[in-house]
Order: sequence, then structure tokens, then C-alpha cells
Amino acid sequence: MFGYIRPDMGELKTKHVGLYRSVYCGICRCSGKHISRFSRFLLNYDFVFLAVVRLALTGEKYVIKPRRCMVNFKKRGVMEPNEALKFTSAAFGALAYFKALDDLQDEKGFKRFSTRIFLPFFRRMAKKGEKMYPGISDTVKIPLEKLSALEAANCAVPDEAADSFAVLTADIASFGLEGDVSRVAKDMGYHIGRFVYLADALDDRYKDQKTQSYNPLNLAFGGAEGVDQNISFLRRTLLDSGAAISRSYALADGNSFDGIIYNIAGYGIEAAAEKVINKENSK
Amino acid sequence: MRDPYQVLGVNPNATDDEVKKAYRELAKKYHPDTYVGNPLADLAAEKMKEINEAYDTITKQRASGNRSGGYSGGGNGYSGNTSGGSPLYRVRELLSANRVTEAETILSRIPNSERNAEWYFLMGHVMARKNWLGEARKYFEQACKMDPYNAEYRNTLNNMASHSTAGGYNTSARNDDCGGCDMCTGLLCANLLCNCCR
Repeated sequence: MFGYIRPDMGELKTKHVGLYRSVYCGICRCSGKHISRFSRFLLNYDFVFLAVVRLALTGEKYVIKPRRCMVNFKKRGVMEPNEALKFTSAAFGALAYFKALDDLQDEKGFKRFSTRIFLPFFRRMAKKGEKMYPGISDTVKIPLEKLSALEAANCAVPDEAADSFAVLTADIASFGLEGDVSRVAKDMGYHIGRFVYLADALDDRYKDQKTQSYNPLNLAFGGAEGVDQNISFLRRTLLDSGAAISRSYALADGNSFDGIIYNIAGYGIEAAAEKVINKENSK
Repeated sequence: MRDPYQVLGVNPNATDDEVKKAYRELAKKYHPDTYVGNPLADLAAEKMKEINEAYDTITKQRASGNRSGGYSGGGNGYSGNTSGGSPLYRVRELLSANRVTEAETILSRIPNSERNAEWYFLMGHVMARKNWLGEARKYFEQACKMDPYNAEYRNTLNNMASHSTAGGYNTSARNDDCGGCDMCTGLLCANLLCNCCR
């Protein structure tokens, strides 16, 4: 995942800023402790949001303590490891490994070389994740294989290509949950994945055109210029995913994370969409 | 049943106006129109029912006379204007029963020459149920283009982008439509609508 989903800090209440940062620092520490120190350099905002969603939906109790770390010498509130943070770290480990395997097949040059160098670290992360949450590797592996097959077949329906990745995030978000909460988590996870996949495709439209790499949007709209001509439609469909996250969460809201989730589903998603849309100016 | 005050999120000492305000906000948030075509529409309908019951209980407790408030909530049904024997009517039935794949199969079999605005609308629903929102939007837009005066198509398209009101992103042009309401409920809804227009 690519770090598109983050809050609009300017619109966030002070108490929510502190809470969000505590999750951010908490997941970094937790993954360093339970998965791999290496994973701390790779974590991104999408996984912080997944952790927030899990914390909100499970209603798990959390503890925040002031702590220092290697980049913050001043003590700040950090969420102590809990189930949601451990699970998100494990899911990240599994996804990083299978994504690295995928990159080994698809990428060329330096990226492929560096992936090969770091592959043992990724493998170790996935192994630890699987040990903590049996079944998490398959949750990631199966949809990624389906996605690779669709990409190899040059799937030109963006929603169909996004569906595989969205199923992956949906299954991660709802892993181990039951009942209505699981359905809400699945729907939220689906739209997180859909947004990330489509935003990434939009972000890379010129790069992929130049390198002749697979891009579902370029295929659907006849190249990066065609994508730009249909940009208002794409903006709407990206924001639709934000609206869907908000509507799904409304069915299970009522806790201290409401402000963060509604902020991300609204302002955060909109800001991320605008950022990738306006990339046309710097082609 | 949960404590009705807890359901509405108000204090038992709250005034009638405060209760009414809380009820209206929740009714807007979980209104069935917002969840048309959504895979979680049934959960929203349950929430709406719970809110209506809580509001009814409180109003009955507070007033000696009977008062039945609340939106009726059309749930996840599809009314439409197709006749009983047509394939599109069957598709509506299948969608109401959450049998999305079968509905898609029937729609795909209908030849291009017979694909009217309602076909595009129903195909949009199929895509929305699959969470393929890009495809859903394309079909809904086409349905609106072919039948621009159809309120059902227009509302569904508008509601795709509507956020939960709790987050302050309520951009939808919602139509609080009450099918099959009794007179009392109808009057209450009319009153709510008037208040919204002030």
C-alpha cells in the first residue's frame, strides 16, 4: 500500500491529532518489536488507518504512554501494543513479502535488484506475521495472485482490477471479526483498497505510459491524455469510495476514533485525490 | 430493547426539542435513501427501525396521547415502474433478495436494442452491490441521461457521493420520501421537510 490515506491535520481536533499520532507511533514500535525492525522504515499511513479502523470497530481498550524513539527525542504519547496494532503489523509483514515477490517478477533494473537483496527480511516479516495470525498469508497471497493474473491479461476495467486489491484489504480489515462488525469492516476495507489502487494508477499514469507498464486507467481511457480528459469522472469515483467508507462506518460509530475516521473519509481522501489528479501539471 | 435515550444519544432529562433534534440527525444519517444499492443497506434499515422505535417510545412516555413519529424507511426494496412479468421486474425482485449474480445474468442477456433507462439503472445497482462504484456511476449517469426527469435515478446518483452526516460531509440532495405512510407519519414528515427548508 502506498500511503495515500491520511487525515487532513488542519481539520482535525487537537485531541484527535494526539490520538492519531499515538496510533502512528504505536504501530511503528509494535511492528519493530513483534515483526521486524526493518518494517519500521516501510510502514505507511494506509496501515495506520487500517489500525484505526480495527481499533474503532473492535472497541478494544488502549493505553497511551509517553515514550521516546530514535526520531523523536522528546517524549510523546505512544499507543502500547495491543491486538489491533499487532494484527496490522502482521498484515503489513505479509503484504510486504508477497508484494516483494510480485515485484521480483514485474520490475526490472535497480528495483528488482534491491528487492532481491531485501527479500530475506520480507520473508522473515511474513513468517512472523503468519505465526502470530495463522491464515494471514493466504488472505494476502490469493487476491494478489488474482490481481497479477488480471494485470497479465491487460484487464481494461479499472473497477475489476481494483476489486482484487480491494478484496485483499477487505479481508485484512475484517480478519477474525464476526457478525455485523465484520461486514462493516469488510466494506470499509474494500473501499480503502479500491481508493488506494485507483489513486496509485492515477498517480502513475504518465510513468506507466512512458515505461509501457500495465495501468488499468490508461487502458480504459486510451492513454494518460485520455485519463486527463475523464478526470472529473475519476475524481467523482475516487470520492465515492470516501463517501462509502463514511457511510459504512456510520453503522458502527460512537467511539473516540470517530473524528479521525470521518476526517480521513472526507477531507483526507479528497486531498489525496486532488494530489494525484493534479499530478498532470508535473508530467 | 436498548434504553431509548441511549439509542438517540440524549440525556433522559433532555427537552422535547433536544430529543427531536437528536432523532432528526440520526434519521438523516441512517435514512434508507442514503444506503440504496449499498451492501450494508439491511444494517442501516435495522438502525433506522431502532431509532424510530426509540423515538416513538420516548414520545409516548412523554405525552399521554399516542404519537407515531418517524420515517417509514423504504428499506432496500426497489419500487420501480416495470410490470410484473417483465425481466426487469424480475431483476428488481432478485436485487431485493440480494441475488446479485442472477440479476446481472438476466440483465446481460437483454439485447442492446432493448436496454432502456431502467436497464442502466438496474445494472448500476448490480455494480454498486459489487462495490464497483466507477461502473455503477457510469450506468446511473446513463440512466439519468436517458430519463432526466426520473427522481429515483437522480436521487440514487446523488446519494452515491453523500457522506454520513456525522462527519459533516452531507453533500447529498436527499429526498425524504415516505411510501405507504399513514397520515400521521406523512404530516410529521411534511413538518420536518418544512423545517429543513427554513
